[in-house]
Amino acid sequence: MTDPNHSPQGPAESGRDYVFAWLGLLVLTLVSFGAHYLELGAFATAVSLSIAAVKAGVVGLVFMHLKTESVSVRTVAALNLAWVALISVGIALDVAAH
Amino acid sequence: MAHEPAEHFENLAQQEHASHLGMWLFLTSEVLLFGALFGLYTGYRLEYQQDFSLAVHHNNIAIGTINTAILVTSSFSAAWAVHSARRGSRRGILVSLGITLLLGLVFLVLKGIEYKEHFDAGIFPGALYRSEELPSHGANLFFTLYFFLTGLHALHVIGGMSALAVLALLGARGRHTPERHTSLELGVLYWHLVDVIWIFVWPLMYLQK
Repeated sequence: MTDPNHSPQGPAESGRDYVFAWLGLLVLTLVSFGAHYLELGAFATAVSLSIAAVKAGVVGLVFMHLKTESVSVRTVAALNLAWVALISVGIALDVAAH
Repeated sequence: MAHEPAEHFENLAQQEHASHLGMWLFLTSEVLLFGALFGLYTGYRLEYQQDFSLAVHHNNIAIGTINTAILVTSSFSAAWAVHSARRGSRRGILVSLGITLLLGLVFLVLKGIEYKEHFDAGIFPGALYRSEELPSHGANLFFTLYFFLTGLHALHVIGGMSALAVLALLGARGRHTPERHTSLELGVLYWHLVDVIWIFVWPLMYLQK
């Protein structure tokens, strides 16, 4: 059955959305680069990976059209995050336990 | 040209939805592949924190950062190809895909320059590793993972470029219309995944202290 939330083309993003997303990604890249030279100590990894997660979110929502995709596609996309988190946390806990 | 859905679909919208869902499931398998490697990185890094920290500093942060800017820009140009298809601009599709391919090529050339720097310093994967500057087992593990992750990623860049080149040829023949350009959307989705993976490779391989 056709997903009622999905339309063939989806409500198209405007060209302006793409340009803002691109500029935002470049700014976030610069912020991450700059943060590398700050003394963030134990938070450095969390900061750089958090910025990476925001960048991935921008690519996913705007460039990959998750903002306008069907619920089923968005569910699959969300599962991607869950799997990677599960693998990383599981391995980290295992290493910590040994 | 009128478009008809395949016989097992009720209509084109359903067929396109199935295509998108299928592509996302494929992308999920790719995420699991790289996710396992990121997991391995997490484990080894916790075990060899000092060695990993020293090894990361050996990577060329300038090249890594420029390559990040290149890939996010190529995602923008790839997205613009789909935007152009929706507006019916054949020229827009070809220029956007051309820029994307060029940026992908520059990314690979810079990666090659970086690999050469490593090889010159005796940094090779696995048993071939013979760096005198970073002789530890942890550094060897870091660079083995580095070569595997970035090498696998580079293969994906080459795969993505091949797909986009075919889609550009189809675009030149007018096959991507405002009503129907699913193949272009799916190829570009793959390219975005290549970008997203690099977005995480960059901080892990270049920015850690």
